[in-house]
Amino acid sequence: MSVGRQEFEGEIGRRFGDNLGFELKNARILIVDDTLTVRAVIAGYLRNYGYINLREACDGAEGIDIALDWNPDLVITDLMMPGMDGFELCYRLHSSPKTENVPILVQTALNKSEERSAVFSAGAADLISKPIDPQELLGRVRTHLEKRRLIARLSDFQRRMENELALARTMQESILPEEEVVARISARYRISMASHYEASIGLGGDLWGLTPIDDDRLLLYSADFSGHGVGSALNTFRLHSFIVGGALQANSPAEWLSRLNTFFYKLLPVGQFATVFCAFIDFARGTFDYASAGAPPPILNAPETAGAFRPLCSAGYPIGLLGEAHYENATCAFPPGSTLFLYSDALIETPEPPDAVFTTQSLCDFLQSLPPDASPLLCKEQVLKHLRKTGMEKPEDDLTIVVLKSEKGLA
Amino acid sequence: MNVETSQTEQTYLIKLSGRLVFSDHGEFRHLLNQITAARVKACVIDLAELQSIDSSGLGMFMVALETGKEHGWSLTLRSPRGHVKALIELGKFDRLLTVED
Repeated sequence: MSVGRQEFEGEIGRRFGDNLGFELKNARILIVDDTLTVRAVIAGYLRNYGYINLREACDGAEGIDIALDWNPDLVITDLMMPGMDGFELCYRLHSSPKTENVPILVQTALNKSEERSAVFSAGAADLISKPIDPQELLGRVRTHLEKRRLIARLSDFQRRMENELALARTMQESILPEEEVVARISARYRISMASHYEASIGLGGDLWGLTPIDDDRLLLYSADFSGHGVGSALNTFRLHSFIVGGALQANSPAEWLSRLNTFFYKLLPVGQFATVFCAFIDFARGTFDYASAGAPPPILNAPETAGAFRPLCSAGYPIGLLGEAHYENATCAFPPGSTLFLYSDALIETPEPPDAVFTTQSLCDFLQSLPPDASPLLCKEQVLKHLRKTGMEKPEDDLTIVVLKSEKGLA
Repeated sequence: MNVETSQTEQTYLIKLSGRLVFSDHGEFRHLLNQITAARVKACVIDLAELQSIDSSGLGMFMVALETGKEHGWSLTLRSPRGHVKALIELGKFDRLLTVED
């Protein structure tokens, strides 16, 4: 054995020792054994391989004390020891929150399978057969240390990503119209509004907004980028910056969409696009002009439809698909008392068609069934309540609802 | 999505069923490579059994169109139904792609 050991220390040990990175080299390894020579042999192998952070305990009790104080990355223990044996040590380490995840390698001469399984039941991560074979020892030590390091890295990465996403979510919510902005605009144009925004997986590809044009006219838009998650969310920031930066000057909704299309056509890769609805509401004339780039049909209730909720025609090329897309303007009466209901496709695709709770038509019927003087807030709440009845806690796609009502008798 | 493929000398036929959504992206790309590798002149995607599609799914058809242009095969969508047909018409995809009834 001593010849083999020398050979090992001389060649293989040096060869592999260089491969230990800083983290592994510094891993804290606790060796528990009542036999001094065995401890010395194990420590010798480990040290020769490159591990520099080793401590030794002569029985289970001392092992526990050191482990709790020193927080080792790995424990190698003997099974049969006076006082506290290896089984007890395993139980104790696993029942303390501080050491519950530390991998424990048990040296054993046990050959019967039930005895070996008893060692695993006690919480050992692995076995090392006695007499100690250096390659087996070093291989298992390294495997378990690397596994522990990977798990630590993954947990770290996950924590960091969660923090990043939480921050991004806050940023994304901040580009939606703020409550006080909505309140100011509502007072200025004598409207009442309600909205709902819900990202499917942390971040979403939906955005809606309001931009005053002049004292009589208000621009309302909603957009939904294809896909969801981070990529779509980044596109909503591009859209928002393009709009608030003042680069998007247009005299009509169709022109507005067309400029948006030119901008995004250059940015979006093939297969990515946005469906967008844009309306210029003119409160002095009691009408609105709109254009649509394939948005789900908005729903309008105006006196001209005899108080009925009806879908608007909203077919059109989505933004970003064609270099030269042409959009059409359409005009609708929108006198005081009228309501416009915008929504993203998640509302009519939850659960997926043909089992969806709402179709555009059944959504019209549902809104029609509410009291005639229902406020935007009530409309929104009732629609959401009905959607949730299916047990769908969270739609699979980003969900946006915007309800705008031109108020009577305030003019 | 569920996929069934068959091939004649000139045409690659793909029958899609179920739903075509965001998470199918990888598999769909793989399918496009298969079409190109088959060295056909045309690809027909049969949508009669496709129940639903989302915006990413529609985007995949646009990617298929571009891939076909690059590698010399044409794309035809056949028999969209219900929700799928409605979405194709809503985004005027039937004017960007060849769609047969």
